[in-house]
Amino acid sequence: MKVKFIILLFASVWLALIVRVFFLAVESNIYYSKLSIKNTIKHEKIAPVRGEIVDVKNRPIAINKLGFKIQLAPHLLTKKHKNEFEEEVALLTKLLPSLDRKKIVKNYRKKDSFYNHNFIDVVQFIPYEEMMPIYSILNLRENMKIVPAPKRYYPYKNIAAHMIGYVARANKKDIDKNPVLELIGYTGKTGIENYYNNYLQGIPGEREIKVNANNQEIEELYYKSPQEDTKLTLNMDIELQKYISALFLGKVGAFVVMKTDGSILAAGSFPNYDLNIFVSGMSYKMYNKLASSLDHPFTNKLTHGLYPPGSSIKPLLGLLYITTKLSDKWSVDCRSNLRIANRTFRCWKERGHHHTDIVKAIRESCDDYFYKGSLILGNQMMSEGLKRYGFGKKTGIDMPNEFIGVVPSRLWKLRKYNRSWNIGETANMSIGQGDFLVTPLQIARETALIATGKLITPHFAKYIGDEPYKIEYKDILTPLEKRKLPVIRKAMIQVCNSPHGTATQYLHSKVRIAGKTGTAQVIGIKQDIEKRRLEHELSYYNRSHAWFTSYGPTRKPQYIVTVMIEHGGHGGHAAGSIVSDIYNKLLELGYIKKR
Amino acid sequence: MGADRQLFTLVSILIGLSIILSYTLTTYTVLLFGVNEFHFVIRQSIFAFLGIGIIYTLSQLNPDKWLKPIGFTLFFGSLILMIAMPFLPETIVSEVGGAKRWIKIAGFSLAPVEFFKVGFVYFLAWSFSRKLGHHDGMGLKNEFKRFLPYAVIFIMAMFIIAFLQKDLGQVVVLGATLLFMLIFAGSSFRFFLTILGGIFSAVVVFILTAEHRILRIKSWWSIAQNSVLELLPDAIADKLRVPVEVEPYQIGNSLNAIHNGGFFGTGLANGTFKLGFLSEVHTDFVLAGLAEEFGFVGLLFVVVVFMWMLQRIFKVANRVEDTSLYLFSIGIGLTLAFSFLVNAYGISGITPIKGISVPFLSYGGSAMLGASFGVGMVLMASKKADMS
Repeated sequence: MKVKFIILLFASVWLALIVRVFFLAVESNIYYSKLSIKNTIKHEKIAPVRGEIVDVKNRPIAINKLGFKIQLAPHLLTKKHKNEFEEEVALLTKLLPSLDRKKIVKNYRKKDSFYNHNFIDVVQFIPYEEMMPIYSILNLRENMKIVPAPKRYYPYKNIAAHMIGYVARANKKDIDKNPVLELIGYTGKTGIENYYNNYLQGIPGEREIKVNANNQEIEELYYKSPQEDTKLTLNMDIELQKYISALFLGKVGAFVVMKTDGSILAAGSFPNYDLNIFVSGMSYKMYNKLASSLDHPFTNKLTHGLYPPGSSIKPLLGLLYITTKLSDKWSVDCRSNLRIANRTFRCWKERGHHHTDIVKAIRESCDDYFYKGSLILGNQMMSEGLKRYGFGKKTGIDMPNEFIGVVPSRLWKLRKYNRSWNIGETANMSIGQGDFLVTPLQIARETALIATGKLITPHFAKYIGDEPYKIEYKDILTPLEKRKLPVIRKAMIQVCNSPHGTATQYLHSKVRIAGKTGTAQVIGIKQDIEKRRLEHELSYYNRSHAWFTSYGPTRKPQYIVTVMIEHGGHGGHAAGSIVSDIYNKLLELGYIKKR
Repeated sequence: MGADRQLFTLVSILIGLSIILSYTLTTYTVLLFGVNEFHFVIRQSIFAFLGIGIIYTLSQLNPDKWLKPIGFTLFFGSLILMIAMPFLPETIVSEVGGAKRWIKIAGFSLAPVEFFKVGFVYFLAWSFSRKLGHHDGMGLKNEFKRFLPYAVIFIMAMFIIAFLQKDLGQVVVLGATLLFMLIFAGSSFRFFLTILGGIFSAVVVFILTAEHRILRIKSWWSIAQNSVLELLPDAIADKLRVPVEVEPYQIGNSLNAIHNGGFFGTGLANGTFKLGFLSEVHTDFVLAGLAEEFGFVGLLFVVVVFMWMLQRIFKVANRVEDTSLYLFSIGIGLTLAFSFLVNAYGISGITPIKGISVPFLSYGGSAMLGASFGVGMVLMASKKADMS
């Protein structure tokens, strides 16, 4: 039985093979007729030219430079043709001395195989001006093809680099997701270039041509031009952006300047890099240097940098306090030292703030007020409120993969660390420390919430083609919260204007602004040690992150300015001057009319 | 009794055909490298004469005296070589795409795995005949117990071949041979099916765990789907259909070549797809090249000769009295059959392509000499069989 079964199995396997080959060879004439149509009518796709990106005043931010790529015939590396190959390469390096012989040979070897019959790209881009004088020489050579090729160019180089993003050659993963890239060849990898890629790349055109046996075109049967007038207009003012970038020289951090409706006028992350380097591909050495830098130049710190918010969280948390369990009359007696669960929690002010209510607590950034308040509210109420305000969630900005940060809670800690929550963490969270993490953009959005009472969606785009970007608000505050907002605003105005405000002494803004400073600790400093350590006594990477978030003018808020400087030390001291300069520039450029 | 003449003749026919193919299918390669027109023919002829020489010489020897030493030499010799290869200097071991498969000896490159196949089959036959016997209803558990040592040896060999030499096709052939030999050695059917099921699920897991393997299966299915889906009702067929993306280069060309050949073929040397479209046309794709120039008829001829050869080998197995000779002949027949099938199924688009050469037909010395050892040893054994 067993043997018979095996013989039967064997026979059917062989029979299947014979039947299959018979079908392939004789029966399937459909395949052949299709093949012959394929041979006479050629279907070609025409790659669209990528749309340009301009700023609010129509100044070009990302454009296409006209140029050419150089291709060589395949199979030139065999013994027989080796001389021809050397001749072509020698000619190229003679006429275009900037070319690297090694790189040409490397590019060629990578693509050359016995079974590839297409010309091989050896030089990706030669600018139009360089190619013109030698075009007639190269174009005559049988082994060479000169093909027009546009290349992305960023005239402002490193200005707003993280926001604009760059295009680079599409890899296999990109093509799997977006098959058009096989034809276009390059794709937006980061920033706005990535977020709006499918729009910017356009839609390929098509044409059908009839060819003769020698593959020469006889007539055009059909033509559809590619859709390529895909312009993107941003709210960004590149001159303002340039001005602010200069203020950040030598600093590490991020900033955003946006209207109260969420339109972003300028935003940056530092240190930055020249976008054009990425378009043609950078050397390993340079990449490694950038990638291993402790200042993380590749990270877009505005949307991907996670920092403890420090005191910059206090206005919003204050709003939560006075609209839930506490009244705006509630006050504490700050003695600087508070013992919670065998740990000492200190207020930053050594002598204490003594009698402190909500306005004073924000104005002078009293930690004691927030510690005590947090013990009354409890962690759950705090984390639920902060999440409702928009922390731990996406802001909805038109940038890829923004981070959401962390709003710690009992449940979160149990899931992540499988450990129970302790009450000290609640106190820590109330001054924006501990596991509480936010992005600078979230802080800016929350400032807008206080200034306008609405939760806005930050956005770069003004027009997508001719279509205006749809501005959206979310109305998330309760009527009580809206009623109490003026209390918080008053406190924030005092931060920047009252003699006791934490920022007043550092500001020289011609516009009357409201804001909040923050100094977020990077390392845990023991609260019990006798001597308090001053920021400048710490080594650079142990210094606190400096926050300053603001809105202005105070009478009718128009702009939000948020600045975060890594290891900048005290918020007002490190960022006050930059924020003042930004408001003065907004005034100078006419964005703010009434002070 | 003498050695089986029919078997000898049939193998000689296949070897003779391989010389013709090594001439007609290498046109493009010859032009591309600018080597002598007869470069490949001369080499293949040398292999052919060596192969036939080996077969003839072995067939003259006394199996009782010679089969065991030759079998074990092949097994241990090639195993040691394969283990040593990663550590040998590059001047001796040639590396292609990270896989060290060949050892250079006197101007020729030899792949030990081809000889290992024969040695492995002999080792299994020798060992099974001593240890395995009929299952006699011993239960699945006990059968697994007695199979365990072989599984360990097989997995070791598989590790060397699959990971160090990156030669998955050979593993498939060896695994299939081992599995079927188990049956002939007296294992129960239940045991056979259990192992088959185990292997099948392992393969599925192996494929599903890597994106690129899923893609490869998809690209194969995009080619194979039409002939299968036609047979199914539309509702089911639509669910199984995947879009035909870029046609996999090799399969597409191989199918076109077979189609171009038609019933009678384009005629000797008149093929089109061998001219730089079908890669490796004189080695792994030799059947596609053959089908193009000799047509369906040509391929059918080769299949008939090959099956006849297999029939003779199995007949030898059937007629010898010694269990180890019986198992050895069956094993050799199975390796030859599986090599041919894995290759032919690949080029006709029924299964995904696995790089493996066709016994006796593909250009190349190691496969030819290895297979010659196998058939030669079967011929040696045939002297103890009554073939009338």
